[in-house]
Amino acid sequence: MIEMDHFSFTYGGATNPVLKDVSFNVKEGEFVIVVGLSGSGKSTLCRALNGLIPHFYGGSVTGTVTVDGQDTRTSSTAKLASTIGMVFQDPENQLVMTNVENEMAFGMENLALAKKDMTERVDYYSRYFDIERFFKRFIPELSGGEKQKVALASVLAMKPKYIVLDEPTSQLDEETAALFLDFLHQLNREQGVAIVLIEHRLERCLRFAKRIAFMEEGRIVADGTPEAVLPLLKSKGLIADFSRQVNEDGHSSIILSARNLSFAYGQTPILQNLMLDVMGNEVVAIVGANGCGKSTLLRHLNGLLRPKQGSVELFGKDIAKSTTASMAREIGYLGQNPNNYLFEETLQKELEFTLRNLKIAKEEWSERMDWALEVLDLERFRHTFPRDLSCGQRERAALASVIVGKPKILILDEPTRGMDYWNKAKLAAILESLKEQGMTTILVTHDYRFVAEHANRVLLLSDGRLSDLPIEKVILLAKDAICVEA
Amino acid sequence: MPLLFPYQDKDSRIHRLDARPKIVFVLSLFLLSILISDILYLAILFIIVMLVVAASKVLRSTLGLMKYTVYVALFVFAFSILVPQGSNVILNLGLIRVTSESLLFATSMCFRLFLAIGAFSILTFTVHPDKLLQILSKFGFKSMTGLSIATRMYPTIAADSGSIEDAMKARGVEFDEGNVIKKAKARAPVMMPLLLNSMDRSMEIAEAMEARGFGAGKRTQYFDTPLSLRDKSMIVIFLAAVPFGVAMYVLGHGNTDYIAGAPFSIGNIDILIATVEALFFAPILIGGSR
Repeated sequence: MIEMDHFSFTYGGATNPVLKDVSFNVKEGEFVIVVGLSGSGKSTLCRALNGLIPHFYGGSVTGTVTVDGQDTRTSSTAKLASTIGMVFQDPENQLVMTNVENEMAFGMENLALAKKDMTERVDYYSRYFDIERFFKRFIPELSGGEKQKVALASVLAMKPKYIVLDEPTSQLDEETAALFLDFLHQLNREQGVAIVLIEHRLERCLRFAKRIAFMEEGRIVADGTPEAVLPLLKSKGLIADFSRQVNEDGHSSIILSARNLSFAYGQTPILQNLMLDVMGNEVVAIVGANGCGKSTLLRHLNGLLRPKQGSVELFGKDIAKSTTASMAREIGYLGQNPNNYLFEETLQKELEFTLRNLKIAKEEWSERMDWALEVLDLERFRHTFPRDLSCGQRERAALASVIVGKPKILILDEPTRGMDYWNKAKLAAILESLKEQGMTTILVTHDYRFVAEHANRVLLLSDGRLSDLPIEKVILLAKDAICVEA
Repeated sequence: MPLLFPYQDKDSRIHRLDARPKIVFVLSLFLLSILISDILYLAILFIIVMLVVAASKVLRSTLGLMKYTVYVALFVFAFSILVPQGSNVILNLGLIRVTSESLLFATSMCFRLFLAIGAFSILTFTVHPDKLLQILSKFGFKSMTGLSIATRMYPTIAADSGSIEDAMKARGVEFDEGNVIKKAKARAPVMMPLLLNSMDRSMEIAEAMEARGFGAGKRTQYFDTPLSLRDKSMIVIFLAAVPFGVAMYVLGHGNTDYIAGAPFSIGNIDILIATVEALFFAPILIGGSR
């Protein structure tokens, strides 16, 4: 059993504790889902369970955590590794070896297992996880879902009694995430390993959840069966019933269009004679299977990629001769990783960087910055180092650095990835308000629910072409994905 | 995804051989090639190396690598002609005098160069980098784990830098405008987020490694294949080539000083000794078993 007893923790240099007098137990074989808004202390809780807190992070601790009787203050994380394993958010940053076989062996080597045992376990778990297929592949070439599976298999091969997972699906698309979560459930039943799962895709977990703990401001405020906890989660905006709230009026003429767009990576065709018209003042969503070329299409719209054939017209003008930077005042682009936009000392300087590059007159700067920070509800972080912000806030900070140029068109690549429901609702409100101010949004996503609730128009990309997906159909798909039974 | 490793996954007897005898082979050969200066000796060793390259089925790639070495060789020749040594002039073009001393010396240098390139291409093309790292880490180089992670992270960081450039362009940074210096300057802002991303990553990786028990104490090795008798014998023979070569060198076989005016000669005794020296390396052609 993991026993956390009146545990409080403050990061070094901080004044407010992140965990406040938390008492929390995990029994053998149990499956616990921990939920809460970002910044409520979920990740910190995870790290306290396996001794990364205090060993890796320092800081000050009161209360105790014991894992099967071992006190985490005296046993190092590495020593606890044979009892409690951990899977992290980003599959990219937890795999250390070059191929899958070595990766699985890495943890066991650290436990100093005999070679015979290692071979047996690698054999067994690679078959159990169905990862034999890419056993010898170079890890960076695997997809996000495959990587996360490898990470889980590598941890499980160490045969821990408990596995803690910190938002393991946040970097995965909806379908892959659903498969991963189902697999976790299967693992818990078949292998008997106890699982503590931090997850924002709550809807996905409700099918098998038996115990949910809800964290708020460093405390566990509710802990029990889904039936007992759900009403509270609904009232806190962590989960909501489906509702479509789209303002359908006010579309103007075509402002961006793609004509017979074709593109290929090497011999693999990605886009084939694709046609697209985007009206002013609408939110257009592009959906489609993994790797079907959604991001590739987006990158054609502002010249980050150039088509093999066909053309893109912005306000009736062919963009073939314009550079991306020269179009940046008209068309803003937010890629998948908000961190790529954040590097200045303060958020304000971040915005100034964009304004300077777009050669906006100095007199307009303060007005534009005030406006962007207000729309995105970031005013209080104006002088904060943007990388210190939480995940949802960082996405908004990166968005601020784009919209401060007041582009007419906004391109977003998977803006809701890794966001909990609360942050998604916030983003949706922001997009709605930008639309009211005349901005057009084109976004790519796997999130059917988000588009069903907030997009004017949904297009499906398959076989390199776009086709209209009627909203009624999207709503059905979204409801399929949610399946809230409670 | 660009292929990161030059390693070539082929099925050859040399590929099948354990990495350790191959490493000893290359290192011994490399040592001798530094020591020996006689063209005849170097040429015979070079033949052996090329035979091994051919047996490894990586002849084409090795020749590709040597193509670049030709430029270096041309430079060596040009240099020895422009800065002539010795007095035995064989071609006099007024300002430029070509001496036989310089030419012979340059020839010997180039043979060394090609020998070293050939030997190391056996290592790069037939030993998987993972294997190399495992072996080196066994000798207690802790930083080898770091090197392995660097190999693993390289494509991630390369991809990162690409999408950061995209992000910058979309914020109005013009990358392809103006002269080279202006272009280079425009790329400077990419470094900062790249560095910050990498720092974040390194912290997360350290955390993940710790959570998987790295640093708990003594480790075992998953790929701990014992050396076979054949591997061991090969290692001993390759190692023995070095003292033999040194002894012969001390006795005056293989250390021809062309700069001092020694002529290029092929003596019977030298052919014999050079062949014996090369034969020390020949067992690698037996290769590993299936």
